[in-house]
Amino acid sequence: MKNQVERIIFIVALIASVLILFMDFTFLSVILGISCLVYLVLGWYLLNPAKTRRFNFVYFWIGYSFSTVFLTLILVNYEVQLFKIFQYTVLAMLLLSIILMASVRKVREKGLVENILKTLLLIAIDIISIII
Amino acid sequence: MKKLVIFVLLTLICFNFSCEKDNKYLAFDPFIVSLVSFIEDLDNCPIESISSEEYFNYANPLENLMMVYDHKLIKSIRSNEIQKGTDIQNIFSEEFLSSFPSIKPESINSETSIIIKKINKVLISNDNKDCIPRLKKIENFIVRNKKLNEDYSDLLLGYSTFLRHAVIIHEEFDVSKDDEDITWKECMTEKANQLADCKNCYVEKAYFALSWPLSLSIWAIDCGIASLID
Repeated sequence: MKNQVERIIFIVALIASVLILFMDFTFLSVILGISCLVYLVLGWYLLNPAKTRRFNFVYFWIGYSFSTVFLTLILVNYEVQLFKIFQYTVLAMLLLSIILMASVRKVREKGLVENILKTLLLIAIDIISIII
Repeated sequence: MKKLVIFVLLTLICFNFSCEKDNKYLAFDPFIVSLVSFIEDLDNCPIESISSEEYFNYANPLENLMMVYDHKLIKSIRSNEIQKGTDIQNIFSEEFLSSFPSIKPESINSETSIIIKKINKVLISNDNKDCIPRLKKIENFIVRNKKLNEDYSDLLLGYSTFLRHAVIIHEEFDVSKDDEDITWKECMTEKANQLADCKNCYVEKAYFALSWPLSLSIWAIDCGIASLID
């Protein structure tokens, strides 16, 4: 159930992220803002596929990175001057997330492929936003 | 209704009279003729040529009375009801004329409208700083030559004084805009711009991006406090 909810939130946020790169609608910013808050506060819980509380920090970091991606896209949309530094920082954060996921054994066991895939998708969106 | 008629009259007269008509009316009144030529000369002369003696020997009887209207003007300017230029006539006809029985609404005729148009030109074609002494000179001229035509002089003196005060308040308002309270959003944008413009702040910027929940919260609280205190 928890994973299903997280997947729905991620898919909605992902679609909003892609759309916001090409369209300027306030509701897309609102969706991204909510997703940003959800991943910031509950990322450690939602992204963790196992019931164990171990490695919460790794999942918190992944959620934090996802959250920063969504914030970056809002900043890009509103053309806040700081968005460039966010784009590069978030790229580093996402790469670090992949390294963390791949290196911690317990994290590697469950949900690794799914989380890495999500991270790669967000890296792609971040790179597109840098190119655009 | 009366106020509305005055305003409509003022506006129509000010904008619809042609130059030929101007000259036709000017031919009849020596006061108007001399005032028009005075304003035209004044408009052409550089501001440095206006003597300080003229500036200090200033005896406008309406000056003290204008204090009453200053707060109304401030209110109107703050709410953007009046802009530099002709909008002032609206407030002038509504507020000022109605409270000065000595100024007869009948005196707003084509001849005074010519002068009002000329005075407006002084205002529009000059910066605020330049037009204040020019308006003062016009007022001095009217006070000195008041006896030539008392029907028009009060109205024109009132108009020029009213206009000058509006310009002064406009200018003060513009100057004080820098120190004015900034909104929360403006404060946040200013902080973001400051950090973005910082050239040797690579680590600072990266740290800000990494710790954005904390950094943005601090900015938000600071700006909130600033907007509350101001």
